Amino acid sequence: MIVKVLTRNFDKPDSHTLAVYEAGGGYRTLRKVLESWTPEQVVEEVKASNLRGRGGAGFPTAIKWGFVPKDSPKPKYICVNADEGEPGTFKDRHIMEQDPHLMVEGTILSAYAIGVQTAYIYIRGEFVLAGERTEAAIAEAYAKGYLGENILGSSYSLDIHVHYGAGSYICGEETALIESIEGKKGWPRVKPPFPAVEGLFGCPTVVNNVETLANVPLILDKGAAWFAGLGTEKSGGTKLFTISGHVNRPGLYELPMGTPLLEMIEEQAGGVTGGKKIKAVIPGGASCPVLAAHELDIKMDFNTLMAAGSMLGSGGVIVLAEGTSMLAALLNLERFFAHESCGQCTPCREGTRWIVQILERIERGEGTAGDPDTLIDIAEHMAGRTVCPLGEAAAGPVKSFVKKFRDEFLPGPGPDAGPSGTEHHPQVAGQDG
Amino acid sequence: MQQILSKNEVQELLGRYPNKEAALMPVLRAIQMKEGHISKEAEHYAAAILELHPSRVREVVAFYSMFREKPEGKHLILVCESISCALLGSETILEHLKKRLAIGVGETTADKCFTLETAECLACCDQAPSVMINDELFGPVTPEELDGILEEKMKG
Repeated sequence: MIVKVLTRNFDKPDSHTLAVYEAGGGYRTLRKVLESWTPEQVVEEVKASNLRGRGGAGFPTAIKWGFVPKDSPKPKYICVNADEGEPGTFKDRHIMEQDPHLMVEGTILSAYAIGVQTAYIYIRGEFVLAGERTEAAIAEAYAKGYLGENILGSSYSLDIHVHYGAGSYICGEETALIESIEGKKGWPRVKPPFPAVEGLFGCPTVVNNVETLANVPLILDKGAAWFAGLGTEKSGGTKLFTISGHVNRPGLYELPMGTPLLEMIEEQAGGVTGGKKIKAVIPGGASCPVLAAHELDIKMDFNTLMAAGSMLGSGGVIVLAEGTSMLAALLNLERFFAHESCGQCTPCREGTRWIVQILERIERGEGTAGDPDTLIDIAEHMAGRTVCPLGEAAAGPVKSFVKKFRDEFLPGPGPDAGPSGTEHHPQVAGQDG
Repeated sequence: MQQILSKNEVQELLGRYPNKEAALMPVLRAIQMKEGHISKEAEHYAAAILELHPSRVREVVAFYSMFREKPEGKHLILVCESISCALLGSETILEHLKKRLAIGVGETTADKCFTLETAECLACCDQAPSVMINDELFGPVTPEELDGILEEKMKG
């Protein structure tokens, strides 16, 4: 069941412009809140809505805001994480391209709640159109008095600046993102101190994902109870799911939290290409453990997926049809993590490289019977032993792929290695992809 | 030292941050937009206007893959290699481009028209397999469609 809440403007012509956004009720909530709500009321409403972060971790948004010390004499910052780069995920790009004002209004309302005077939107360097439209939306908002000094005649002032990334996945990690805004290489920081206490320029900072902030105007417009009612008991609102891979209609779908995975694939994404069977699904973006065909009868929400040993992550559903080489697919994922490892922590820097080397060796037909266990062993020595979650993100796919599809990581051609089993360089796309 | 950015451009970038150091990435981005890449001289220029040691600039240029250290072709081709594009045949796309342009990944054609690179997920998995040429995104693309696009670029 498609629900149009976050995406309600997406199909309108010129949906990215202020005129269209205002015609749909845009910035009405900002006016209402600045006229009659205290920042504390905004925080309480968001808390009651059960909004959880949409960047991957699913942490309750209002609780994250609550960690910011109220009595700090330092300036406070909000950073909008628009560094979307998790393979299989493309929701934030769509928000910025099709309704950037929703993100901007959400940022202003959240900044007001936390007491922030300066916000930075950290946009992936590769996002050309999303960047242009975000910058244009900010300019329109300034011109209309929604940003700048004394917003809409209130005593509240806020500036928003865009800061572009330059091709580094790790900068989507919140402390690496902060380092990057400070003009440094994107090396994640050791926590604590957490950004809420000591973040950007040493000041209290909140980092929130684009989709998370885009929900805030809706919550404050229609109320926490309405928003909570759209979701599950522990997680309010709808969720933007992006479905890709071997499906007939890859795309962005706004669905209630807890929508069954198979319903998404069959009804929204039009089923598997070529009428094939599903071999496996990565449910929430590249770093989420893979689900095998017998595990797909599952509801897509944070808690259910965690109980199944995977994650909802950023909602990037990647469908792998029968015929896909799991060896080639895992090698693809691990090459990504090896390339994007920042190099700071030994277990991640070396571990991702070793994993790639072993997988390449198996692919060349030089694997050994001990390789599957060695891969799992390396993965277990990475998870939880690094400054940031990238080590864990790289380990999860290794453990789940090897445990669930062990045969394909053993010496000799796997079941989907290629025509007549002679092909030692299977493409991820499979023999007829 | 050659002034790559105007005083106003630098002031505008500095005005976004509470210290000069933080303007490093936008300054490098602006330099690259003007010059196509960031030369050693440009690194020293950035260091001078932001009052940083040149090694700080070096570190940042080296870390971020989009900061390009040498001149490249008129058109930069990025082939997305990440999982969703790979599932739909990005390897075939890349092999086709290598043959068609007779260059490897990271290389530029002799006429300086094209540079071929691979990219990590461009967040266009709904348009897989996707290819970005300069600021423009193409997807889903077939090898035949790419040939047509390259012909157009060569004329333009």
